[in-house]
Amino acid sequence: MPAWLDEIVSEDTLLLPGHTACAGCGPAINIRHVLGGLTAAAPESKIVLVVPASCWTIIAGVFPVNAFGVSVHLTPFASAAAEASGIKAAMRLRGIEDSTVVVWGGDGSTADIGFSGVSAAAERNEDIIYVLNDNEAYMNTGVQKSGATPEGAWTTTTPAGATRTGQKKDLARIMAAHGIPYVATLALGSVPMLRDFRAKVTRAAEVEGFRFLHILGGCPPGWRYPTAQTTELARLAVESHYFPLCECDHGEWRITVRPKHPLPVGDFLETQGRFSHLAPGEIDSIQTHVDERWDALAGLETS
Amino acid sequence: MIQTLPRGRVVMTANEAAACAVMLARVQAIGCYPITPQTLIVERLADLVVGRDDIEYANLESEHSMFGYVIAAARAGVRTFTATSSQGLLYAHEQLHRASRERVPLVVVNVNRAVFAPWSIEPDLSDSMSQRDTGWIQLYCSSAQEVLDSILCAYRIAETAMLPVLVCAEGFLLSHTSEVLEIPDQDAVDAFIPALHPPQEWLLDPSNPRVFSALPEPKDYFAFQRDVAEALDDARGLIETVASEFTTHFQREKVAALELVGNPEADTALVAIGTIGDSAQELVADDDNLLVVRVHTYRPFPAAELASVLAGVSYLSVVDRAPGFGSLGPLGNDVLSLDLKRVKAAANFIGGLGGADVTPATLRWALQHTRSSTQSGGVAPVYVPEGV
Ligand SMILES: Cc1ncc(C[n+]2csc(CCOP(=O)(O)OP(=O)(O)O)c2C)c(N)n1
Ligand SMILES: [Mg+2]
Repeated sequence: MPAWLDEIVSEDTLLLPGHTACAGCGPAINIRHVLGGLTAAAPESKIVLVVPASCWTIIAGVFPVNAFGVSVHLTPFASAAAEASGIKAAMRLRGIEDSTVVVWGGDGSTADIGFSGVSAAAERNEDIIYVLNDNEAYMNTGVQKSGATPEGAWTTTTPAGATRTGQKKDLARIMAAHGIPYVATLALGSVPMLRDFRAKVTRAAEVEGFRFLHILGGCPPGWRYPTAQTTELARLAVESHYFPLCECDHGEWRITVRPKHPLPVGDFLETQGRFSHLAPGEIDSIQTHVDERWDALAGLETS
Repeated sequence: MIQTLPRGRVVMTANEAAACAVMLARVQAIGCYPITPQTLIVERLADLVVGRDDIEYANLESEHSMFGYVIAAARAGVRTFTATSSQGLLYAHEQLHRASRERVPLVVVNVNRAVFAPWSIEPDLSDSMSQRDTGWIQLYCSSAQEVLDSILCAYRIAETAMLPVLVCAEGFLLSHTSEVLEIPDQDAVDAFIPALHPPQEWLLDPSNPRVFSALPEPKDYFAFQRDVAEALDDARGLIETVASEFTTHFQREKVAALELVGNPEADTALVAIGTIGDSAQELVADDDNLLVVRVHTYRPFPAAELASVLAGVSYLSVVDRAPGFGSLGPLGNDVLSLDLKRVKAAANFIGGLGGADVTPATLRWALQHTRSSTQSGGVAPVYVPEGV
């Protein structure tokens, strides 16, 4: 095993073993690498994690048990970005320079109820890292549609016969349009993707100002797949261009992982019960949208 | 495929019963946003509206928007529904004030849940009780059947009084607990709830252009507020009438303001609300000197009716399931400010916060506490100690 994998395994003190995330929870793997990556990049900097209502309200621990080795500030659903700004301001006023304030916000809070707050914190260029922990629905309340739920997906509020119409919000591009210093998309599906993931976390730690990391994380009960498939699904999401890995560093767009032989999006969709009702024509239409998004992204990169 | 509603005698939770009531009431526009323990209502409705071109169902991005959606749809002339809990109701606070002041005939179900911080999804009444001054009619239920029946009545009440109605049901204790209940036939409901006909001058109608809620002079603003107060006061009689018509029409007893159980001549009374009011009814079996009063209509507050049923009482216990930070609990404040001349000792108990149990044993302890005290009124509530 390369030395850096050893180091990664030793990062177990940040999200503690025994936390209550579901088996196969993608975000539980992702958060480990965010906290581990930030700590590795800036060992002196103390992390303050700001967590709006989400599955992580529960995973953070039931009083008096705590699942984290960093400070955690739990907030109402809509105010995480503003609260992170307030904490950072207090750190500045108290002369505490070595703090990294990180929001770990779900897609529901980020794309929907807290969206104006995220946009405003970006527009003020607050010196915080905002992580969009995207599992593509309101999962803590049991799989309801959010603004980041993909088209065609079943959720309990877009049931069979009335599945999600409209497009998943493209939050990376929306946030980049705020002119913030760093935006990246991340997912963990293979060793090369892990390198890409950690490099982006490291880059986020180096940059000052508002940094936005959009991380895709599978949810076995919400997406309806076996718990062992989480990393495999992340790989399929990236290799099918469903979830392109890219970054926008000070305005420069770059696709960071370019699948050699892109898979049809159906290869990703067919692994999950939430798409099992889709007719071939509907999959074709999703494929068209996936291709359009990829082309648009590639266009940003070369321009 | 269009789903059919269950009918007759069924076993279901209050959340499912609420969804059935909404469909029976022929609601036209539904706003949805998830929050535990309410979510099952809007999830059930999502299933029931599949294939129904005559019903609009919208997934909103917050409760503030969700209330805005139903307020606006109602103003534009259709019957609406939404449901929420806890943080969701609090997040919509601005819209709650506005809905009553704009005289919008909404029916909303609030599945009661404790309030952040710290986080809890367990039941208490802090969420809706803290909205008591927003000008809504508030009905608190103690069974799934009462939730269903109250929703049907609420459409009649809201659309006659032109006021919003909040139907409250404690989370899990009601929302997730299955009970036997009776679902009426569509024809019977249609005969009970007439089609919606809001006043022409109130309706948003593009062919009759007007500006709504424009900035008034202070005296006009004042008059608008007084009108809301009067409408709420007048709603007392309406709630009574609708309940008695419901009882006759469906051949099932419907509580209006208060439910009384026990000895009306008793010198000891216990006043409670929601499921605690239901648990308290067990106490009368071995106490003939007890009157249990369960408050169903909390706003408009049934002050005269309570004053009359409590007129002869010497020992009065009022039990709240919401804190009274800096004062008595909400129900305690209302009941103990009545002019009750015969009361020798009274106490306001606060229990059941964040899902703590309030059992008949807890309530027996409370009665004992009041009987052995000499305070008549009290300035501070008694927080039920752990373990009683
Ligand atoms: C104002 C308000 N409305 C609703 C809720 C209920 N709620 C808590 S967590 C949650 C789902 C969160 O979804 P997301 O942000 O995607 O995070 P996830 O649970 O998927 O991790 C909801 C709807 C709340 N806490 N506050
Ligand atoms: Mg989510």
